[in-house]
Amino acid sequence: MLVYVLKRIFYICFILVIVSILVFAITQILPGNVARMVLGQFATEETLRALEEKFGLYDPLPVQYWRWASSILRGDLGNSLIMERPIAPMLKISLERSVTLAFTSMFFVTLIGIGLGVIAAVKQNRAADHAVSIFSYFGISVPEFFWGIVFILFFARYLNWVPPSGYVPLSEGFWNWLSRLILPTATLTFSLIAHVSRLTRSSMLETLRSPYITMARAKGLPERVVLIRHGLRNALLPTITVLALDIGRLFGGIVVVETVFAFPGLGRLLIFSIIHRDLPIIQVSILLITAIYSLSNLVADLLYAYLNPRIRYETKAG
Amino acid sequence: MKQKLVDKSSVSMKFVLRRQIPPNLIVGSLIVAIVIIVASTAPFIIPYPYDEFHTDSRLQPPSRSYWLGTDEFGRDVLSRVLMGARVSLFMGIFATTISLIFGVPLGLVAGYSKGRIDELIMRTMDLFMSFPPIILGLLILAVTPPSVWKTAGAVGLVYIPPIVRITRSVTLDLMGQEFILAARARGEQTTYILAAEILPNAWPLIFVEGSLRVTFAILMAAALSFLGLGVQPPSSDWGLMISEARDFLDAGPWIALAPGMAMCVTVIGVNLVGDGLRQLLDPRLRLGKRS
Repeated sequence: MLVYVLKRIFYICFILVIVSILVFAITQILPGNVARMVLGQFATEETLRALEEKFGLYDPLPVQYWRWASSILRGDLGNSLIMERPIAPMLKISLERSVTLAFTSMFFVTLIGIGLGVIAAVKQNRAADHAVSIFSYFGISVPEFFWGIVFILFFARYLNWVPPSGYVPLSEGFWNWLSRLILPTATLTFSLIAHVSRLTRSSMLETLRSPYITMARAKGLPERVVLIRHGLRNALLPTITVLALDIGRLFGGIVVVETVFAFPGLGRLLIFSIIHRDLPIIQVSILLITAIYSLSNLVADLLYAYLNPRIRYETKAG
Repeated sequence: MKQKLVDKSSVSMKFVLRRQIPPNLIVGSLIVAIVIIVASTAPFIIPYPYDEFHTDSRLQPPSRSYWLGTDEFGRDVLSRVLMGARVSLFMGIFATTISLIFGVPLGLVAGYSKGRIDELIMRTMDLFMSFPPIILGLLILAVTPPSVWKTAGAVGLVYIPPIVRITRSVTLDLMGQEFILAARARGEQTTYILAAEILPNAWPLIFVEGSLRVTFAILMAAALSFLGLGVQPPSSDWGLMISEARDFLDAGPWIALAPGMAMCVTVIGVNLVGDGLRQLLDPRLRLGKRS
């Protein structure tokens, strides 16, 4: 197991190096260079030259790359071009907010998704089952941003229960903070739930057909024990895989949902920096997102292996 | 597993027809057919030009002259939604075509050659997949100014790896079978074997995968447009329309709701077709096996 984990971590580092080269290469492809972007289009030739000199834009590319990569490794993420502030604190705070959003959504996706899946499987082909599958179909087929807007219209404008968008820190009161988290979380949860509930349903159905379930029922165990202890436990393995796959969708969802709700997290920072061509932020946040993504995939794989006794990575390393 | 694939990978038309056609395929095909008809006839059936300003009737709620109301410039929402169907369908189909054009040959070659070439192709795909999909799209679009073609291309590129994977795994399954061994023994050329022997037997699965990818592509293209990195104004893309309507949610919620509903219907239709095709053609029929 340890060897496998080390191998994977090594591979992740390798991927990150490649991604960093790719991300760095973007700077070179972009029309106009950083100096021109900072100064705007009315800069004189002279100031431009001076700033280009200052940024070291005349050095050979490998040198420039090395300077950039090594400063990031030292923890110096550089400054935002547009906001003219250091990136690191900005990144940290927006990451924290996004992580809150991601974890609460994932929590509800797991809880409600599995719950709905189990209900659908137990009530197979009855009204509840059909209701769940129609519900999940809407979840998959409608983009997050549209759900977001429907939720805003209904819960914020029509019912006036929560504010439509924005963010306030926890220090300004618990309800103020929570009320602005509810709609984004609900939107993310709703758009991700379908996969989980569909898969739980099908794997639960498969499990319920196996002999040991018949056996457990024959023993006279209460139905609740049969379903949860014997059925659900074994049905959950594939669900974990799909949860891992959903991490990728979660990232996409977060970027979109943060834009809809004007939620100042990592996704919004990234979109802001792309639209304003704020290269240092684009580079660093894409590196960061790739790192988080690879790591969370690794965790999901390990969790799967831990829960599934049939997989042991020593024999199948690589 | 292998045995299963043997009898079903050689799907003959008779075999397909002997199975019941799933109801969701029928419903889905109907919806998709309607959307395609609307999209292709849109310029002739729209009541007003999609970008015509009616300055005296801004933000009108749905009425007899404007069935779905008007937006902040007094443009007819219905006309814009109908024209938007073209952009969305184009995005979905063009992007998926790109994924197939690149993905299928790569997958065939990877599965057929095994060894080093396979390793090279698959590791490259892994690299692609180490980005969350939308980030890869954003990365491509961040580099250059956006346009319809570029967005569709970016979305297509993002979805190459899943196509490569599925094609490769089907190819690997087919490789062990007698008719391939026979073709190799006859000394047929590799390109002939790939194109004439493997591809015809691999298409059902690839087709199913492709049809499901269309919805992903439509949704992602819409998301990119929504974020301001896809289709640019004054086009009538649904994602873009919803994005523009955000500032007028109080004054005119219909501006956002109309394109959103249209997108719902379209994507549900394509999804139903994909699911139906899968039930009809995919012998493995297991969800969650593929990414």
